[in-house]
Amino acid sequence: MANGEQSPLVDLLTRARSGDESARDELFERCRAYVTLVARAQVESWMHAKVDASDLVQETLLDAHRGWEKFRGQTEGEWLVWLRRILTHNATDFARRYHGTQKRQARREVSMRVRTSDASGDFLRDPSDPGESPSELVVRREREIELAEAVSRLTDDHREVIMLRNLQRLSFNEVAERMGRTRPATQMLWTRAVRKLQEELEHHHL
Amino acid sequence: MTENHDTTGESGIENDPDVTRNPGAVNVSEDRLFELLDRYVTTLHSDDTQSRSAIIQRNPDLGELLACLDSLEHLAPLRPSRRGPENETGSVLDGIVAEPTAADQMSDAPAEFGKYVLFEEVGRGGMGVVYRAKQTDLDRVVALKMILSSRFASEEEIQRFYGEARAAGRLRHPNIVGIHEVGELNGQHYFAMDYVEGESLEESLQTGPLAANEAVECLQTIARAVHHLHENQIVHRDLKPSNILIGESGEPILTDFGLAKLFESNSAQTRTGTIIGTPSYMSPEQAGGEASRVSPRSDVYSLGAILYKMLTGRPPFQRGNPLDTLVEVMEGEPTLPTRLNRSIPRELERICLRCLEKSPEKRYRTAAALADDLERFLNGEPVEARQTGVISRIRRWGRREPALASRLGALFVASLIVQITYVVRENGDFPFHVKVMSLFGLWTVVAVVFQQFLKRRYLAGFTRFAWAAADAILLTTLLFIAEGPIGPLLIGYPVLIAASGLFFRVRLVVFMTCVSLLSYGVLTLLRGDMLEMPPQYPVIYAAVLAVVGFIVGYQVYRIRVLSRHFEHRRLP
Repeated sequence: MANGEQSPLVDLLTRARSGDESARDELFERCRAYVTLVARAQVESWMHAKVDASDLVQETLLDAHRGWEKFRGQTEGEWLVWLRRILTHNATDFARRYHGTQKRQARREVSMRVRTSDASGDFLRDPSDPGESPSELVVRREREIELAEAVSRLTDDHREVIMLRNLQRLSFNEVAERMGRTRPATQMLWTRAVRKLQEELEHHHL
Repeated sequence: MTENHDTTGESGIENDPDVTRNPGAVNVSEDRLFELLDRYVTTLHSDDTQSRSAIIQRNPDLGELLACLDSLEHLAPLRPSRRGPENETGSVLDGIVAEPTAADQMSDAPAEFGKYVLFEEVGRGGMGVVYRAKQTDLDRVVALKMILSSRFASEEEIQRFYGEARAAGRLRHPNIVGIHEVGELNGQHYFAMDYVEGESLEESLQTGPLAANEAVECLQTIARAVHHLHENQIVHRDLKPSNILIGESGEPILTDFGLAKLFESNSAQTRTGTIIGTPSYMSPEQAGGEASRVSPRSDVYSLGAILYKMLTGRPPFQRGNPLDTLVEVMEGEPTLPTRLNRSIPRELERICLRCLEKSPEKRYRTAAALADDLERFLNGEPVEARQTGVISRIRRWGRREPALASRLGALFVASLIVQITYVVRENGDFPFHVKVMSLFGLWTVVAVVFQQFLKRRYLAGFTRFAWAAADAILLTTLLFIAEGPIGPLLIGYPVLIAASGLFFRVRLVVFMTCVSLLSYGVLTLLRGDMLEMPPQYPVIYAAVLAVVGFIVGYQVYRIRVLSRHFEHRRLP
């Protein structure tokens, strides 16, 4: 996979940080599929319904654009965590609006800075967390972007079943119900979707 | 296609003849594949890492597919139960209902560490960080020390650490902190020990020195505890007031013992942190880095330094930076405790100074011998520490006041030479001889006076410069009245410059060089015979003088840089 070479995202990130506008636009464009996927997964798993999350995606990317100066991280990991933070913040608002709840309190402050793990925090992490080496993490993050892009290239049915089963962690009975199919058919669809997704990823790499 | 379902659930797909080696190919039993993938996703959702890795191992062919599922799992929103580096998304659903977000509170919650719950950080040292923690299974409060993993250079060192910790764990003594457990969790080495509520001796001494008897009783208890360590083949190596805790009933309790030596092995990297950190209570053999000479008597030295601190309120040697302190520990002599606190009994001062002897052989043989002598002192019996001989007292004075001692030595030798030559030469000029000798006398008086000024801290900095200037003026006066040609005597100036370097101050060297050049210039103008030589000679001499000053100054500067380097390496 992308282990050996310098990952293209890091390169984009570095160029964008040094003020290259086109690199920044490209970076955001490349993250759109990712943000869309995560946004949908997040909002829909709260709502237990299909939701049009395009506004949320737009808002998040816009916020990220506006807050670009405040981003202090250097790795994809930090970048994606930052994006997810903004997304989570916006998604919470989005969910409130969706529920018709009034926003009684002021917008919650979200620090634009990703908490960097310091030496003392390092060993305080959850003991059940097996831990990852930084390089593993980088590869994984890189993969997440590619994966999100691959998911967006799938057919609607395939994308949907993966969204429900993997990203929202619904049981097959629920997935079948939501998709209006029988359970065996859904299982078959899911298996094919996963295989298709893997092929898609592999294809993209060649 | 769907027969042969494996009910044990863990066998590999390769056992199934229907399945081809390539999962990407079309002709795969889809039901079979579904079973495996579904089981895998279930292990992911339930955090069942064991079954998960079993599936990975049994199905190497599915690696890509499984990795794909892994990544999908990472993309999914975090479940509230899972706490990882991305827990900011913790349980946002709660955040919609309740006002504060769960993520905000996450950091305030007590952190769990294995069977311990960490409360707060109570200390930080060269080895690591100490937390107050609760051991949940036994429901007791302990002090948990996390060893910085960077402190271990190799696997071997880790083994040594465990060996030492186990040896220390076997100790049972009311004045020694008990070690309950040594272990490792997620690569983090730690040990759990008694948590002692209360302050350290260092903190309790901040209000001022102790009364003599109080100090003696306290040190006696500490010395007996240290002896117990020695009997168990453990040398503490890092005895200092901050490592002595004061228990509830005021009894001292030793902590941080034995393990210290692991961190001052041959590797310079580990040594600088600990040695330069607190040289004030360190024996000269430790300060000099002679690890092989460290013995129980090194601890006796530290005990003496602690006694000194308890009696006078300050450690025997304490300078503004580690380098100066180190030089003092190795070469200097502490100010007599009675000078700092007149109420200290002479006998107690002798006990203290015997511990602080530079050579280990002159100290008490064991910590118990020190404790016994302290007991004799308390009982009003004559102590073992005797009044030392004249020679060793002179040596001590020389170490205590090196600036004065070296000048007096030089003046004595110079006047001796002058006196002998006067006696040997029969037609000596008596008035001239008197003039020279009284100049030497004046120089001696000036030195003694300056030494008195040097003792006053607020005058010390200024005094060094004034003293340097006085030396140059007196030398110039001497050279002015001396009978010519005085050529060889001009060696005096470079000597003054070189000697000024002994104080490790670049500015003093620069100052001395300038004063010497100036003095030489004045001397040349005043003395007529100085110009009866080729005109370039004085210029060459002055240039060489400047070069000498530069070399000495540069050398001092280098040492300063090294000192700063080590100082910055010191751990917080």
